[in-house]
Amino acid sequence: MKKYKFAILKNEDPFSHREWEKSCIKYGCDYEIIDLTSNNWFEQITENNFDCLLLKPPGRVAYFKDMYDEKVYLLTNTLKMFTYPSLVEVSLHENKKKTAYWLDASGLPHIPTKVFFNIKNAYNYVKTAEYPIVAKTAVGGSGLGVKFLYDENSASRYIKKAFGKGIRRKTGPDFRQGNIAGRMKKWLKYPSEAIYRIQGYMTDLREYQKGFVIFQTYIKHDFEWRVVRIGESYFAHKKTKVGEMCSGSKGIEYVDPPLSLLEFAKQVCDFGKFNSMAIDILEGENGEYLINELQTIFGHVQDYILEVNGKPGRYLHRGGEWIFQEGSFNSNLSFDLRLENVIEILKKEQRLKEIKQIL
Amino acid sequence: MLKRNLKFAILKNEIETPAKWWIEACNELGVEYDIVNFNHFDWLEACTAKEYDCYLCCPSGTTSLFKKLQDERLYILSEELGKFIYPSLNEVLLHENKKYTYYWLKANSLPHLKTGVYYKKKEALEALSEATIPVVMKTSLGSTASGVFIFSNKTAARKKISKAFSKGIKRRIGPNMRLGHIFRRFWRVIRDKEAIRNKLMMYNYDFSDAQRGFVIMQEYIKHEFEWRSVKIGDSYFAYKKMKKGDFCSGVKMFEYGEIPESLLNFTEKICDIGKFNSMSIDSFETEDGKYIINELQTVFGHENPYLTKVGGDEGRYIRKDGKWIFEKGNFNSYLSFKLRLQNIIQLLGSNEKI
Repeated sequence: MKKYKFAILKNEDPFSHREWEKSCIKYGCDYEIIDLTSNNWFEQITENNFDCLLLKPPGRVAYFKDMYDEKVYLLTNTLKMFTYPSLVEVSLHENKKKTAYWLDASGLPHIPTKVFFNIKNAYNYVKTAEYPIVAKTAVGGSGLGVKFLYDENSASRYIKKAFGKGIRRKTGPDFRQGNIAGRMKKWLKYPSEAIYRIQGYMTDLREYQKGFVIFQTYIKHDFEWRVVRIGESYFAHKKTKVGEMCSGSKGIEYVDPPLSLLEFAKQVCDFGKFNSMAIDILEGENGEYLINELQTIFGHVQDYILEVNGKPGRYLHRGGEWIFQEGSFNSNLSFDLRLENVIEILKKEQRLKEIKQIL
Repeated sequence: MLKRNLKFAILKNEIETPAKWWIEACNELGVEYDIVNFNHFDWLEACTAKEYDCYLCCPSGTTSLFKKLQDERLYILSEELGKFIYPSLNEVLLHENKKYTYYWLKANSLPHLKTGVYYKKKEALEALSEATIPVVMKTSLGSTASGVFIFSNKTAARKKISKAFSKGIKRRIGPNMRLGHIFRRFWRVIRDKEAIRNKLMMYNYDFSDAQRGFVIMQEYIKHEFEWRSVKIGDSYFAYKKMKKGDFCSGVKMFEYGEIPESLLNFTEKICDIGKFNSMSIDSFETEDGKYIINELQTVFGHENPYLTKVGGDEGRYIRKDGKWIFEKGNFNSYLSFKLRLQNIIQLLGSNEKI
């Protein structure tokens, strides 16, 4: 069997390659770690013949996000290299503007979102909008850039700030996640990570989103579905509300997901040709599913992201039926499953090539 | 002959000019059009409300914010919805993005200036210590050399790098003094309220836009002029941009004449590789007659109503039966947007002659 060789394209986070590396070691694949923020990234990638570029898109600082997207665009579009996740998945990741455009263009049901680059249009909108409005920053996971605006005054203040000084996301440890003592202990055990975290908080303080606002319609909800597809595996759980938000609260409720939800997620992923995607979904007034957010790489606190009757596992779509398969499929933050998917895709391509040669 | 069967959408950006030239070209050729405010929140509804044959883009170069807006929205229109946009997505992405231009040239093995894009201050300082003076630093966005800094000592360059990784680098703001005729230009603007408003708006854009978190450093090539060669459809043009002070760009000193065949071939090759329909290429000529690409811009201004003049005749070059032929005529009216529009109509496969 062919031994695959991968390039792990790490971002500005010095630890961002770790999960992919762990998976490569587990599956006995050759790999190289390439820092995409370094000046010689291009030579490092093109001087080798990699089977796939394993990506870890950033989501903290806008210019690093732009850099990552730009370089991945060149690698896939001009150099025709195979990346995982794909260019579209990466460009939607931590970009709520582009996600809103993509969803609008797709015709898939989603929460109505408006992006205003014109201050007058934004003021006009908040005059007649239904409250609350959910204001979001383009970059920012775990609900960090989300603000609920309850009346025209607060919305106008938000707009003034966004088009003036700029909007800054929340920073510092997220106390909604609880387990403060446990996290402190982890920090003490890995001081370099703690230092990086603190540096990250300092960076957040300098990060302002200026010149535009993103407003989303508020959908009344008590929980949000997180549905995940990695390769042929599907997972889902409920993210329960802590305070105003479900994202970043780490409140998780495992239930057997309705098959209609899995069907919906499959439809979204098939449409976008997504191999690795987490879809946050709210249920509308009439029970319809509405996409809230899309993230190709995501964290999970538990060792598994689906549990049915106390058993962790995954759903597979086989012969038109949804089948639950018990087992542990989310090891190493689901990166093992992602790498299995990459290998599967490469094998499929190889088989196709062989068939073509025979024909 | 008027053309009524085609319908275009002009994707107006934050300033008047590119849209204005598309409008004039459409009026001249009798083509139907709608103006879509592409920066507006309902841009997608406006773009998809009707079946347009082509979306006429006005690539932005005012601020990185608006540049990104355009790039992201055009990506959706072109790649996700499969609409025909002109210039193409790749041409627009390269426009006013010196980082991406450099990556693209490198990926296509095209001759370009030795460039470094540094996202780490340490790497940038190390590269500077090894560089030979003078060193050129550029902002990713910024036309007419407004974001170009030439350093003849490393201390000043070091300071610039530190600034790029802290407060950010700003482009030149205010009137371009290199152009000269300050009083004449001031008088021309002051009499026109609209011009004052536009100028102030542009200065405000420049002032609000700081490039933070990375630097672009480039080798300095000794030169007396820079070639600007242009391809629009099947038409090729070129002229020399002469040097005033340290710069060729933004000084508006031109020299026209016969275009070397090697330059036309070079321009054609680049445009074939990039599948460019509308592109201007700024390049330096080395002592041994080779060309090195400095910049690419899909939409550009030109001071005179022509881009090529041979022996006192305005015109263009076209390739006929494998040979370059000079054709007399006026091909650059409406800032060359008429020629672009004719190219679009040709691409759409219309049989009617314009």
